[in-house]
Order: sequence, then structure tokens, then C-alpha cells
Amino acid sequence: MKNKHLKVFLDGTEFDVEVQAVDAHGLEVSVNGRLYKVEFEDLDEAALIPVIAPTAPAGPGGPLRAPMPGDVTQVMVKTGDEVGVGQELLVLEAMKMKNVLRAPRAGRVAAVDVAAGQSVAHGDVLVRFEE
Amino acid sequence: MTTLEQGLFLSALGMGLTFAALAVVILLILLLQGLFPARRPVHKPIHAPRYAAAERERQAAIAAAVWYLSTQMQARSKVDAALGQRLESGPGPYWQSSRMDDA
Amino acid sequence: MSKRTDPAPDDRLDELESKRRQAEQAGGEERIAAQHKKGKLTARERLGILLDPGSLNEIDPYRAHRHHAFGLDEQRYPGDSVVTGFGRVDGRMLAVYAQDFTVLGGSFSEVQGQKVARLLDLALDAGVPVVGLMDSVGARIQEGVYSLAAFSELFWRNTQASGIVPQISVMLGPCAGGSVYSPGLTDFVIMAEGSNMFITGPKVIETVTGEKVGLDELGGAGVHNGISGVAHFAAASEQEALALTRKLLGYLPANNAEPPPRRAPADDPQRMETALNSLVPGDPSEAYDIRAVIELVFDRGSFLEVHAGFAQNAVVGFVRLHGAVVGVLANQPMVKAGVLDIDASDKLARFIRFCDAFNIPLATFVDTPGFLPGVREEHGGIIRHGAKIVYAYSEATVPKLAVITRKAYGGAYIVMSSKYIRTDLVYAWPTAEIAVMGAEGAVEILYADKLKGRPDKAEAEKDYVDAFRAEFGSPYAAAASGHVDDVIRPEETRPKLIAALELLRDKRVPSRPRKHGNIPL
Repeated sequence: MKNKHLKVFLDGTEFDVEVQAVDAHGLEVSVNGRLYKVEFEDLDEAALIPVIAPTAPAGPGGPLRAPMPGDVTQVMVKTGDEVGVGQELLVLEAMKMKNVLRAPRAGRVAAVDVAAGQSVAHGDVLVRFEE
Repeated sequence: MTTLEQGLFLSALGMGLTFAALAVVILLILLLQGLFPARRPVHKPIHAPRYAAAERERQAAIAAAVWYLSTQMQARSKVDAALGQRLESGPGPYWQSSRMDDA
Repeated sequence: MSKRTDPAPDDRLDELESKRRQAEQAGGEERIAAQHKKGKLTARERLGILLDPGSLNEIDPYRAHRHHAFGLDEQRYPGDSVVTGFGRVDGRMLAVYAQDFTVLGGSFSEVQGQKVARLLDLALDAGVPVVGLMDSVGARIQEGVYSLAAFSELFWRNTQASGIVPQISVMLGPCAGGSVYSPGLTDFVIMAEGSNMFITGPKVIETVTGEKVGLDELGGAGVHNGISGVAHFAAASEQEALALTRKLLGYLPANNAEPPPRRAPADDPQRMETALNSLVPGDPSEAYDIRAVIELVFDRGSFLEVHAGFAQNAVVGFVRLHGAVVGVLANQPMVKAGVLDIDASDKLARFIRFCDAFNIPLATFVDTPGFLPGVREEHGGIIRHGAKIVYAYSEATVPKLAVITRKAYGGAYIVMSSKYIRTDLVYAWPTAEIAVMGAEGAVEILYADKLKGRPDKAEAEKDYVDAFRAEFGSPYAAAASGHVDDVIRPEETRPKLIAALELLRDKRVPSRPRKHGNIPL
């Protein structure tokens, strides 16, 4: 694509377009001898990342338990908060990844048993809900 | 001729003359319009120097965009035109004959 | 000589009409009203929703039981506790049966067993799918051992038909005791809100173990979709469950000798989704939703997720690629970091085997850091369960494609449709990291001696990790040794997979005769 040379006619006016550099976001062109930096923004891109509702695992009552051993790095809710299904509750760092744990059902937080910086084991109770 | 007939004749004559004169005037107007057509009012574009530069830049950007898209389209024409065609009909005899193998 | 007065033909027709009315009334108006009051539909109403209008051909509507014990001779209904027949869904034929709760609670009886067994025999001979609508209190105790025999006839036929015609069970009411094994044997179980399944009920459980538990908490739709994995789909209502059945059938062939049904492609095969190029976050500790990848690559709107609530660290489901049905499997980095564990292994393996049985090609998206470590998993038999995935992929002879989007470490990399277990084409994105293990873990082992007791241990470790990642944290080392067939831009995934699927359209693989393998269970 580089150094491609084209004549572009716009409303009868002639432009001499030559590309000097191309990257993922735009290009440098010389048009009739003058250098311009052109950037592109793909408007389709932002719109088309499908937003799929997080399906929290359907299950009966019970607290949110740690799905794997790890470290709690962030707690986003506190006692008394009303949460909806799939709402982010806390971040568990495990397997070198930040795992966002979400509410399995809508309800009010009865207690948050862990704090940021705490290590948890598989199955440890993290957040309890009001029944 | 009777008096009435005379009167009617004179009226017709008069009207005819009047309309003929009107026709002549109209023809004269048309003739003059043809010879001297109306000129459109002259638009004096505002050619302030800054405006001209911005306009050039805008056009250059358009030119660059047109170039970019045209290369994209050219690149596209190099893609597989028949992509997907084989999936539009089902598996052929090569697969179907294997149905017999699995007894 | 008295003259016999034979009933005139019209009278005979009237007689048939009245018998038909009686059969359609099933357990009687009162019981139908009771069913409606509970918010439930009758068997025939459900079949009316499931099937194309007017397409139901009922068989055995006059079959009745022959028992007398416990007052059964007063409760003899034509057709007994099930409606059986064949009809169409979207023009395609299938066999159906619907348990009739208005007749003796839909209890499983000798006649019900006979009717359903007859239907399954017919379906197997004809090569059409079988859909069962379940709503029953369980075995008809009054009939004693006869009802048990009836169950077994059904289970045997479920097994004979397994892998030959698709079988779907739709739970629209209770299902308890032995009868749950029929849905347990079928390919897909759809549970409507309010239905439940269990072997032993709350009362017996309380007597034996002392645990107090409610019907829904023990075996409701939520439990089986989210915890036990017995159900593959959850529906908010009966109508939704039946609509879902129709949708599911649209992806499945009628029998194992047919390819799955094709649709006219409505989506551009050349579509390059630039959104895919930036979907994988630069930070390897950040997650992304693999379902977004699936939605973008395959035909728009064609993704039907299966087992959505169970083992969410893996994703399986049906999609269409240029109109052709494909079974898609993937790790879900957003849940449990995308690790493989016992439940995810079971979920993946079962889906692979279903698709292989029914000529549905497989496409796998790989982003997993490995198997879940821990005593719990090890003692739970992760070895046995993980082995199921390898077995299923290795045994499958349908076209197999794979795309490695990010992490592919060690054993998990091997089991997730790697090249050497005979995946036909493996593609890697530039963000792929194919390695024996993650950089940090590898450095700890490989450079243990060099790092021991150094004052600048953290610094040195970081340098080693960066170097390791630079060399192995990319797909090129794997590409150089032939582990992947090509490295592609994410936006190219769709056209690449379509071309690959086209190549493999007629794939056939010779098989060695054996009765069957011994998949670890």
C-alpha cells in the first residue's frame, strides 16, 4: 500500500495523492506536495461488539462462594447494597487473571465476608445475600 | 348597411386594431428579450485567505480517503470470489459412500 | 327369522366421532380445568404449540390398560396417560409423545410404556427425531411391577436410538423416581420453570438423611441447569420451552445418515470484523467474553448456546457458518479464567460426541491457562474427566477446526482440539500464546538454580519472564514447528473458517471395527 501513487479528481480539481506511511489507525499522505496526517475511526467497530448479558449460573439460594483459590483484589459492594443478577461484586485474582465475580441472583447483600488483599480457598464464602 | 351594422363593423375594426397593436408590442418584447437575455446576478465568493487554505485541506483529506477506500476495494477484488459456494449444497458422493461403511 | 339391524354407516361414523371426543377429553373436563388452574397446559395443547398446525397424527388413542387392582377398573381412559403420534416441525417429520397429567397424574403405566416403546420403534425404523413432553407423578404404583417393566422398555429403546436419531426431553412438570432416566438418556433436556426432576423426593430424603429441602431447591430448573448439568436449557414458561424445542430441531439432522439441515446463507461470507482485532485485551490478566467472538465470526444471530448455565468456564452451542450448522466449543476467559475443570470437561466431551454422532462439524476457540489446580479437583477425578475431552476429540471424525485466540498452555492446550489429536486445521491469532506453561511458572522451574539466593531476584525473574514471553508467548514458535497451520488476523477468521469448512465438506475417515471404545466415565 505504501508509495501507491494516484491521481484523484474532486469536482474537477486534480489532486496528486501519494502515501508515505500506513498504520492500523491512519496514514500519512502527500497531496499535491503537502504532507497530511489522516486518521480513520471505524464507526462500525464500536457498535458491533455484541453485548451479551452475563448469564450468572442459575442456582438456588446460598452465598457467593469462591470458584477457585485466589486473592481478592477488589470489592465493589458492601452490606446493604441492592444488586441485580450479573452485577459485579468483587474481583478475584487467580490463575494470573482478574476474575470478576458476579451476583447469581438479585437481592440485598447481607454481609461481605472478605476484604481486598485477602486470600481465599475454593468454596470459601465471599458474599452473603439476604434470603 | 343599417346604422347597427355600421356600428358593429366599426367596433370590430377598432378591437381588431387594438389587439393587433398589442400583438405587435408583445412580439417586440419577445424579440428584445431574445436579443438581450437577462444576466444572472453575479456572486462574489468570499475568498478570504484562511478559508481557502481550510478548503484545500478538506479537499486533500477527501482525496486521501478516496484513495484509501479505492485501494481497499482493489484489495477486496483479490479475495476468493467463490467463498462459501461449496457449503450451499450438501456433502457429495465421497461422504455419502462412507455411510455404507459404518454398518 | 329376525332381521339384524346393522347400524347404518352414518351411525358408525357418529360412534367414531364420539369416541374421538372422549379420547380428546382425556381425564375429563374437571381435571383439564385443574391443570389450567395450576398454570399448566394439557398434553394436546402442548403438542398443538410444538407442532406445525394440523400436523399431528395420533396413534394408539384408544389403547387402554387391563388392570383391576386398587380400583383401576373404574379408571380406564382411552389412550391412558400419554398421547403419542407423529407430526411436523417446520415441515420436518418427527415422533412425539406427551405425558397426560389429567389421566391418573400422567403416571407411567404398562400402557404408557407400550405406547411410547411402539413410538420409538417406529421412529427408529423411520429415522426421525423423538421429542418427549414430560409431566408425570411417576410410576403407577397400582400396576406394580408392570410399570417397572414399562420403564425398562423405554430406557432400552432410548439407548438403542442414541446416536441414531436425536432425542429431546422437555420437562413441563414433575418427573420423579426411575422415570428420570429417560430424560437422563436423551440428547437434550429442556426444563421449564416449575418443573423438577429427582430420583428420591424430599420426604424420603428427610427420613433417611435428615436433610430438609424443597422441591425446587432439590431438583428444579435452576438446579439442573446450573449445578448438576442434567438439563441443557432453561425456559421461563411452557410456551418458551416448546418454542426452544422447535428452534433446537432446526439445527439437527433427522437421523445420523443425514447432514444437518442447511439454510440459505443470509450473511456475507467475506465479512471481516475489525472489532475482532481489538477484542483480546493487551493485558493478559484482563478477560473478554468469548461469546462476542462467536457472535462476530459466525452467521449473525445464529448462535444457540447449549448448557448455558452449567460450567460457564466453557461455552458450547450451535451456530451457522454460511448456512451450514457447526458445533462451537470454547473456553470462557470471563469465568474462572477459562480453566478446565471437572464439569467443563463433561460439558465439552458430551457435546463433541453428540455432534460427531450427527455429522455436525466442530469449531473450537482456545483460550485456557490449564486445568484447575487443587486437591478438590484432583480428588474429584479431574484426570478421568479431562481425559474425556481428549477421547471425544480424538474419536470424532467430523470436520474439526480450531482457533487459538490467546492462552493455550500444556495439557489443556493438547486436549482443546490441538493439531496432533487430528484437528483438521488449527489457526492462531497473533495474540496466541502456545506454551508448555505460563511464563512465570516456567521461569521458576527452569531458572530455579540461577535465581536462588540472588539479591536482585525479582528483577532477574522479571527479565527472564519477559524473555520467555518474547520467545514463547506468541504463535510463531508453534507455527515454526508445525503446531498450527497458519497465523491469521482475527478479522480474517470468518472467511478462513468458511474456506476450511468447504474443503472438509465431504470429509470421511476410515474406521477400524470395534464394538465401541471405553471412554473414561
